Amino acid sequence: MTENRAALTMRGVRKTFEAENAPVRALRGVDLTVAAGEFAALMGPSGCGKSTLLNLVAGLELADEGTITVADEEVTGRGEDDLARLRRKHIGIIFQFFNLLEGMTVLENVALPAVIAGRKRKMAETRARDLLDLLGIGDKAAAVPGVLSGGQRQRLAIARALANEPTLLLADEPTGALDSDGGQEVIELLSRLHTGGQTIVMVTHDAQVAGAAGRIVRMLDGRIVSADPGASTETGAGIPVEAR
Amino acid sequence: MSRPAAYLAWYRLRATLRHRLGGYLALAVLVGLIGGVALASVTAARRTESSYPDYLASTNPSSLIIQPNTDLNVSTAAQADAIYKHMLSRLRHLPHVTGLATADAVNATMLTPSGGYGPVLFTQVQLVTSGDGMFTRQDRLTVTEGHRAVRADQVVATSRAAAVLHLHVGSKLRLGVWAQVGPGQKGLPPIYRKLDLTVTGIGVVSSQVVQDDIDASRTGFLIGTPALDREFMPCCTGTSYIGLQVADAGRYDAAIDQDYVNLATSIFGSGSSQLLQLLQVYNTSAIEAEAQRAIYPEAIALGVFGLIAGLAALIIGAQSVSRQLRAATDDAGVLRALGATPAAATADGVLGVLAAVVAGALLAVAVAVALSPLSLFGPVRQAEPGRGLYADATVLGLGALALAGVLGGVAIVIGYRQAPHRAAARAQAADRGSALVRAGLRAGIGATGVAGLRFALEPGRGRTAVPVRSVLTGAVLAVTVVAATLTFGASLSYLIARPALYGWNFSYALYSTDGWGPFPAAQVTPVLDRDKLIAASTGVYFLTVQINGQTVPAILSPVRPAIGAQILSGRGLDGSGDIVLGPATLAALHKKVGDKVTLRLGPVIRDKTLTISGTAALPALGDTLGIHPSLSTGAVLPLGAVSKAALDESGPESGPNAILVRLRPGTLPYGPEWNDCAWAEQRTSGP
Repeated sequence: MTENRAALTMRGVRKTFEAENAPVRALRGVDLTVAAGEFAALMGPSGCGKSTLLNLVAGLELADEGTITVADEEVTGRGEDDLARLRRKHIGIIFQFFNLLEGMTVLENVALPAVIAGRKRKMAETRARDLLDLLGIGDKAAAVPGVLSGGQRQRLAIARALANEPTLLLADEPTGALDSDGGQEVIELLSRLHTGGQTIVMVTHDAQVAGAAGRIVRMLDGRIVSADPGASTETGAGIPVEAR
Repeated sequence: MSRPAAYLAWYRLRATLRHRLGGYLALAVLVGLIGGVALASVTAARRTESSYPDYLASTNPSSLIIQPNTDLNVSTAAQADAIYKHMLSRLRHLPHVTGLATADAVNATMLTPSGGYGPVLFTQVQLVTSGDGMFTRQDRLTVTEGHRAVRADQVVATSRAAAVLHLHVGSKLRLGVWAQVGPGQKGLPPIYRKLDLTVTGIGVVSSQVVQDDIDASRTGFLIGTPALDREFMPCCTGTSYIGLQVADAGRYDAAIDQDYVNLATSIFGSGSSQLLQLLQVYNTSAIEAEAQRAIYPEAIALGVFGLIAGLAALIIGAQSVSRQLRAATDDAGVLRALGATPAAATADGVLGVLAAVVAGALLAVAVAVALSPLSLFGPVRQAEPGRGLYADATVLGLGALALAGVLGGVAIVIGYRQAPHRAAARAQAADRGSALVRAGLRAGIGATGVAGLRFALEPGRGRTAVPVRSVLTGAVLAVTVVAATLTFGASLSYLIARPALYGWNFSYALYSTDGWGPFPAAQVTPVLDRDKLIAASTGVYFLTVQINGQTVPAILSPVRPAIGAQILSGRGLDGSGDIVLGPATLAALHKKVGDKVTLRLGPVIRDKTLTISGTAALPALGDTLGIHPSLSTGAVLPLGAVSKAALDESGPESGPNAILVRLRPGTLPYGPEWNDCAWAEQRTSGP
């Protein structure tokens, strides 16, 4: 466990979007620290800024004010190429609607981040195969995502997010598009990953899902209103980072 | 593009090719087919435009065709032959002459089944032969069907002759040939020999490649072999054609003209009444220029069609490129989230599209080459011996480069603009809505109005995005093209419905012997004057003259004629010192109305100075041997420009080459009254 280091630090982060009638202030000065190995759940009603926060951490959107640091690397103030490198190195993202690439097979989807990171195809696909086996969908390697169940698709998305062994796993409503069984399956998987040492920041508005996290951060109107320590942050009984 | 970006693009292309193949194929086929039609059209335009000069060059053409007057006022064929040979010898030794070949028209007639006289082969069709290489070495005949004649009993028919005599390859002809007769001969001479000929081929000669109705009426030829020439030369030949190749690219200038005047004077004497038709000189470069004027609009039309098709290929191709790249924006967003750089995410969508565009450009080249057998338009098509595949490397190379370059450029620009981080920033900006929509909101135009503006002006996002700007531009362009086409069509219909606007301000032109024979004015004029259906008539002559050294087809007309040219500027012929020019001829002479020009016609008109009184739209009228006025080219000369002696050279039979007739209003052409028309009978039994 590496809880002594901060995997994510946000200080005074603000973000405003232009809209047709009036600007929308999505984040109004957010301060947050997530320690390495921590599993944090961001909770709050729709429109409170949870997904915006995640996008800012991933460098997919730029903060208007404040600083964001991931694994001691500043996210804010960087160019797009630098942000891409940072994402390759430190961040894995799981989307609510999976965002799988339908024209590619399951194996290719998982291998893709490694190819983007510059690994050779064979090496990337070997690693992808290992991840698929680890997540229990190794037999679907040659299939296309469209034929998988919801749970399997999200597991595939998780495998893809883990391909480059990210410092921080960002999950945006990972169970939002799944039935309860599928949701449970994904939560168990995330728990195992966390237990293995993976730092996870998960956005959800489902209290039951948030319960799986070690810490619950509540947001309202673009601000963090509470950051409960939550349940266990122990690791060791799940999928260890080095096993992945 | 960096190596990782290229590698990612290649990996993605390989992995998703099957998924994306339909889109790429559609793009390649669209660009290939429409671009191919565009390239084929531009190829056709260039090929058509250069077709006549190319074809003419392939025939080793004469620069000048001289048709000496046959009425030499001698008593025997031997005397006529001696004069002819003397003239040939003199011509051959003129300083500017580099080549000479001759053809002779045999005095022949079709025979009826009973062996009597049928149609005489003279005005519409002639039986011609050459012993010195005319039609084979010089002014080569192009056989388009069948094969060349080899034996004395074989001929090749020109397409005009085949049409007039209803001939095809293998047709048999029974002809009668008569010998030269002295001046005292009355009526048709007796048949000297009967001749059975077989048509072995159909062909064309360069001077008979059809340009318009006048050219279509040119005398057709049955072209015999040298063996036939040996049989009937000199006993039984009449008209001769002398083809001269001259130095200085065949330019018929004043020096050459003076040579002919000297030649004619030395042979016939300066006081001869035969001057007008002593030497009919037809200038091949002028005929070529006339052919080019006829071909040029067709070439322009093909070129414009090609450009429109090319533009369509680019617009449709660009829309297809845009659609494919927009459809890939979601994938690009995912790639960005997975750590792809903007260059890598852009390359992912663009690489396949670029490959499809290049494939489309190559397909366009293939389509253009496949269509090339159809790519020669215009009159030369009938004479084109090579009807196989044709490739214009310039058009195909530049065209393919333009297609690939422009569409590739569009793909790169769209790919750059669609790079996920830029697209995300633009999407945020787009959330503000179009400026017009916001203005509408501020103006309080209501929900339906705002919704309408949104549908029209806002593209939407992701897979459901619509390229509103290009659709709007396309719609504007389409409406513009439709409006322009309708306007052009309406203008053309208006012009066609009013022949006076293009020079036809009369009902009929009565021709005598294809425009080169005389109407006996003394007999015809009273008949026309008596006819109640005729409102006006004017006799005109056809000439080819030199104006300031340029060869110009002309109409010789009375001053202030009852039927005159359609004046466009200035005035018509008011006196014997006036001349009216077509606007293009005026421009070619670098003159303006009111300027003076110098006129020359062999020994008939010697450096006569005339004043340009106006410009006119000229009718396509003329004899079927040389060049003729047409719309903006040519001249109208006063009768006084030529001496009365020259005009009356045919004696009592003298008269104009054609009579322009205007019927009274309400008279139907070919209506029931036509049958009662006295001059119609005169026309059918006339010269």
